[in-house]
Amino acid sequence: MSHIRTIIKLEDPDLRVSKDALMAVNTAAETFVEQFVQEAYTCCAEDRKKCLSYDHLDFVPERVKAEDALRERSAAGKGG
Amino acid sequence: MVDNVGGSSSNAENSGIREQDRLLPIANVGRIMKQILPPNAKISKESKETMQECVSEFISFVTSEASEKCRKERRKTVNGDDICWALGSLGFDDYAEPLRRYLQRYRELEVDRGNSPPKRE
Repeated sequence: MSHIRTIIKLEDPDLRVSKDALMAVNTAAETFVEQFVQEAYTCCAEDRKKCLSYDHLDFVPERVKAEDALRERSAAGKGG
Repeated sequence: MVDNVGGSSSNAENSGIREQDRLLPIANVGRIMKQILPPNAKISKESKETMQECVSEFISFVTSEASEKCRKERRKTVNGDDICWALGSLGFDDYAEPLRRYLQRYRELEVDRGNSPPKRE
């Protein structure tokens, strides 16, 4: 909180700041960072979604037609 | 070199204040950022530094509004209520209400500990 006091004093050296004002600024600053980062991360995630295509993800199985998948599944069911 | 825009930056340069004195510690800012993100998220040094600048600007912004209110009311000390008022006045209404409740609890704890909170002048 001493850092917050320093930042405030830079703005107005003559200003007196009570202990609960420092606490309030500290809490507000923390909330500000949290909200800012949350929104930034949302933008980041959206951006990545745009960049990635199916072919980039080598751990995703190859594309299979629905009818082929269903045929394989029913065959496996009969065999079991 | 690019000129720094913003009150706190120019004040710091003029009065020979060290760069780290006008910013919150990068470790603290990074810790808050890390808490809010998923465990696998990575945070670049550049984004921490940007956040440092933003949060310092935010502190100056809110404080100067609260300080202006005190000046008009001929009071010398800014208190928690002034900060809450400033947040509401600057459009951070979603911060102001929870902060009022938080301050109330903080003051009650201070009274319990025997440190009476500062009174309004």
